[in-house]
Formats: sequence, structure tokens, C-alpha cells
Amino acid sequence: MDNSFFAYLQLLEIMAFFSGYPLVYAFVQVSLGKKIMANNFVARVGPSALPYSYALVGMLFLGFQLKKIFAAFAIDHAAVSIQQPWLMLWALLAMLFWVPYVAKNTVLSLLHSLVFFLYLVWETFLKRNQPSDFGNMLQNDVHVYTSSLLLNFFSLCLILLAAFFYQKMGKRQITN
Amino acid sequence: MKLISNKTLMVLLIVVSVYGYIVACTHKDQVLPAQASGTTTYTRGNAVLLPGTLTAGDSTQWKLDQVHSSVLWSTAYLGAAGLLTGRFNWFGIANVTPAQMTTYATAGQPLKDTSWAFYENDPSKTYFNGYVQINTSNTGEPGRDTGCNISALGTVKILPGTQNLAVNNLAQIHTTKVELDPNSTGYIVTFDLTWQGKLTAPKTQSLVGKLTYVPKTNVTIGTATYGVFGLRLEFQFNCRDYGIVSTSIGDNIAIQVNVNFNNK
Repeated sequence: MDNSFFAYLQLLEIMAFFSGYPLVYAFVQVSLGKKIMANNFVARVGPSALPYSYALVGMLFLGFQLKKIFAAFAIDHAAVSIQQPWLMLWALLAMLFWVPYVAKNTVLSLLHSLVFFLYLVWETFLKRNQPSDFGNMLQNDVHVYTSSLLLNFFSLCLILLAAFFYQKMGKRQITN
Repeated sequence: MKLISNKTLMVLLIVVSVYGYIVACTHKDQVLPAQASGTTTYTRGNAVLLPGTLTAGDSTQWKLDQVHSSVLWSTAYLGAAGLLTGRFNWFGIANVTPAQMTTYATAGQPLKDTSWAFYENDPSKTYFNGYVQINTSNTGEPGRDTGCNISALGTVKILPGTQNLAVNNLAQIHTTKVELDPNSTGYIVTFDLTWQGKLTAPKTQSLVGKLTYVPKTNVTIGTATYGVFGLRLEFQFNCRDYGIVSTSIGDNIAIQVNVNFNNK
């Protein structure tokens, strides 16, 4: 984080969207990875749905940023309002996981999101001894991380639900 | 990524997350224990400040610094606009007896400002009697101050070189009780306000105000070093009680008395 308060706020926004993904990813991989059962839809589709849920989070992030820019009528100042250009660009790359070829390699989504998660780790471990308001900042980071966990979990649920209905409709078309 | 790697990854992520939650816990949501005592204790000094005989050079005798003091008033203007404010140019700390209610051919204080005593830690001994000359009300608009205000307040115009302590030009306060304020370092003052206003005879009513003591300290001006302290009294009264009729000012008049003393 540089000295800009607004840059810090933007960093928090990015973390709120992406930092919770690695834990959701690991949880799904570990809990569902062994259950190769043809009848268990969640176990079968869950791991491969992870990149798509990640892409959905990326799309929500883009929507959020566009809403901010349009709501403030700050299109002309969009470049100025972007305080973390490289990190934001990296975050928007998450939408590439809509491309099936990219999404096929699920570990790429993990690596992508680890950038944001490692920032949290850096805040927690390396800035541990900083004085002043560090405690409050860390508490806020953890709140943001919790929100991110929930967002990524619900995003996965949404993708699984969509996949479930998509599969049902496909079967119906075949039987018809 | 193989299953074993995923497990390791999950353990690592969980450890890091849990550690983050523990470190971030500031216990700020905990309910604080009840206050040990329900009352706040205010510490006051034990200054005793008296006027004596106003002997110059006697540092135990405190004199009113009239030119650095003020009696300010304010009231709502037209009920909705801002405040109308003013001050009384001439005032004093003396108990004006009926025999003294007359005019004085002097450019200075007509009476000695000795009718007061202040005991910082023993308010039962504190008292003061003060007055203002109504026709010295100064709003900064001479046309108003020497015009409509004179008749509206039931007084007469200023005669140059004369101090007018006549009954129709005099508003006095006499303290009847001074107590420690339990909620501040100040004092609660009960006093009588006597003023004729537009009535046919002076009217006295009991009011309550707040007194603040600005502790004494030493100052050096040029080569002279001397002590100073201040008192501030704030109160309000209803001018309609004194027969003041006006459609342009509010009922309530707020008064702030700022008096400074020195021991030069």
C-alpha cells in the first residue's frame, strides 16, 4: 500500500472480491476431489466449476467498478480514479476464466487469486509489528476477507446451480 | 494439482486465516465493565479572592478590570433570523442602594467595585452584586442605541460626562446562593434580577445562572508582573416579564457577563 488513502480503499475492494477464493478452492478440491461418483453432481462438477465461479466474481468486480465510475459521472476521470492500475488489471484478467480453454486448467485460477491472498498474508505477518492504527487496519482486512470468502462461496453455488439446470435442460432436449 | 498438495494447501490457508482472525481480534466488541463510581469528582483549588479596599499595589486585593470586561446580551431577531446582539458599555460590581440611585458627574466608575467575594472551594461564602446602566446598551448602531432602544427599554438618553444610576436606568443582580456544579468545575448561582424596564416600578425575580471561574495566574506586561483571574456568568431571562413589548425581538434574552480582575 502506498500513502494514498484512496489507493488503500481500492486495494480493499480488490481483496473483498478475490482474496477468499484460494480457501474455497482448496476446500472444494479436498472435500470433493476424492468423490468420483457418477451420481454425485456436486462432486463431479464442483472442482471444474471453480474457475467459472472465479470468472463470475471477476465480472461482478468489473460491474462494481463501472457502477462507481458511472455513478460519479467520472468517465473523464476514470484514469485518475484508478489508484491501483496493475492490480486492477490483474483482477480483471479473472474474466478470462470464462474461456473454457483457460478454465480447463483449474490451478491457474488458484495462482491468479493467490496474488491477492498473499497480500493479506503480507499484511498479517510482515506488518505485524507496525504501530499506530495497524490493529484496526488488520481487523478491517479480516472483515474484508470474510466477505470475500462468502462471496466466492455463493458464486460457486450459483455456478453449480446454473450448471445443474443447464444439464437438466440438456437431458430434456435429448429425451424429446 | 494432486490431492496431497490440495490438502497441504488447505491446511496452510486455514492456518493463515485463523492466525489472521486471532491477530485481528481487538476485543473492541467486548462490553466494558461498569464504571467504578457513578459520579465524577471535580477537583477545585482553594483560592480566596477578595476586593479589599482596592488599594493600588496591594496584591492581596483584587480590582475589577472594567475595560477588559464585558456584559453581553443576545436575543432572537424576528423569531427566525440570526441573533441580535449587543453589550452594555457601563457596568460595575456594587450593591446600589436606593440612596445611591442617582446620577453621578464622573467619567469613571460611579461606585467602588467591591461588592463581591469569591471562594473557589467554599461557594457558600461567594457572592456578588452587580449592575448595568441600561442606556449604555451598544448594538453598534448609534441610531438605534440612542433612538428606539431608549424608549423601548424605558430609560433616558446618555448625558455626556454623567453616570446614570437612576432607578429607571438600572438593572441589578444580587446573588442569594452559590453552589458547586456537580457536572462541571463551575458553580450554580441563584440570584435576584431587579429591573424596572417598562413597568411602573422595579421588579425582582429569582433566576439561576452558571458561573465559571478562570483560575488566577500571573502575567507579565512590559516590566510589570501581576495576577489575573476571571469570572463568567451566563443566564437568561424573559424580557416580557419586565414589560418590554416588541414584535422584532424574542422573549428570551441571554446574558453573558465576563469580568476580569487583577491585583495591580
